[in-house]
Amino acid sequence: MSATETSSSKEVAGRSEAGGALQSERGTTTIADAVVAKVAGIAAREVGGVHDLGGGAARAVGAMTQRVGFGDERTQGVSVEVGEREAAIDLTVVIEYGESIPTVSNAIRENVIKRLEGITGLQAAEVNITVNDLYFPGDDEDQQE
Amino acid sequence: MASDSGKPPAAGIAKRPSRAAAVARLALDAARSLDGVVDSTSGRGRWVTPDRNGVVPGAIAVVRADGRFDVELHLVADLVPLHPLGERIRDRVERDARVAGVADLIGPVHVAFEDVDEAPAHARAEGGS
Repeated sequence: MSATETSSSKEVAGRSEAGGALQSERGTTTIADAVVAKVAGIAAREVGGVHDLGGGAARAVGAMTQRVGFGDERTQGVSVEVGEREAAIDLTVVIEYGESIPTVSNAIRENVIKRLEGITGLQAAEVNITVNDLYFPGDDEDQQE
Repeated sequence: MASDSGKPPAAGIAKRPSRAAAVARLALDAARSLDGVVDSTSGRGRWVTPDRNGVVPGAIAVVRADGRFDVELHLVADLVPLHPLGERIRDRVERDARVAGVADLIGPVHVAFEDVDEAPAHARAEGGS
C-alpha cells in the first residue's frame, strides 16, 4: 500500500524530448531528461528520513543491475516529464519508521524544487511523492539472513 | 580503418584532420578545459565527428551554407548550474577559436548536457590515479 501526495495539478508547459532548453543566437543549451531525474533523485536522498527510492521490485532489480554495472540508483524511483521551463517529478520513496511522513514529504519537495531550479533552471510544476514502504532498522540484516 | 587509397594507413602516421574534425576537436577541448565539465559522451556512437584518424567523441561539427560550422557538444557535467556553464563553454570556444585564428569558422555552439556526475572533482582524480 502506498500514499501519494501531489503539490499541484498544473500541466507541464512546452514539453519536448530534451527539456530545459535555453536558446540564443550563440546556440542552444539543452538538458537531458536523465539529468533532471538524477538531480531529483539526489535531492530526495539528501533529506533526512529518506531511506531509499523506488518500489520493492525496482529496488530489487536495481540492486542487481547496479551490481553488474548497468543500473544507476540515483534515478531509481524517479520519473520526470520535462518541458522547456517546467518539469513534473514523480518520486517513490521509502521512509524510515518513526519519521513524520508529511514533514519528510514536504522537505523532499522543497529540496527537489531548490536543487532543480539551481542546477537546471527548471521550475517544478509538480513534485508527486508516493511513500511506498517504511524502513525498520534491522530490515537489511533480516534480508541478508 | 581504410584510407582514401583503400589501404590502411601505416602505423604511426597520423593524417591531417578534416576541417569539421578540427573544429569539433577545438570546441571539445575548449569545453573540457573548464571546471564543471567532466567529459564528453558519444551516446554509443551517435554523437561523433568522423576524423581521418578515428572519431571526435561527443562533438559534431556540420558545415553550413555560409562556410561556418554548427557545433554540437554532448557533455557530462558536475552538479553545477548548467545554463551558466553552457554560456561559459560558448565563451571559451569563441576565445580558443580566435586564438587559433579560426573564429570565422565557428557558428552557433549547441551544448547538450546528457548526464551529471555527483562525485566531486577531487574524488574523481583520486579514483583515477
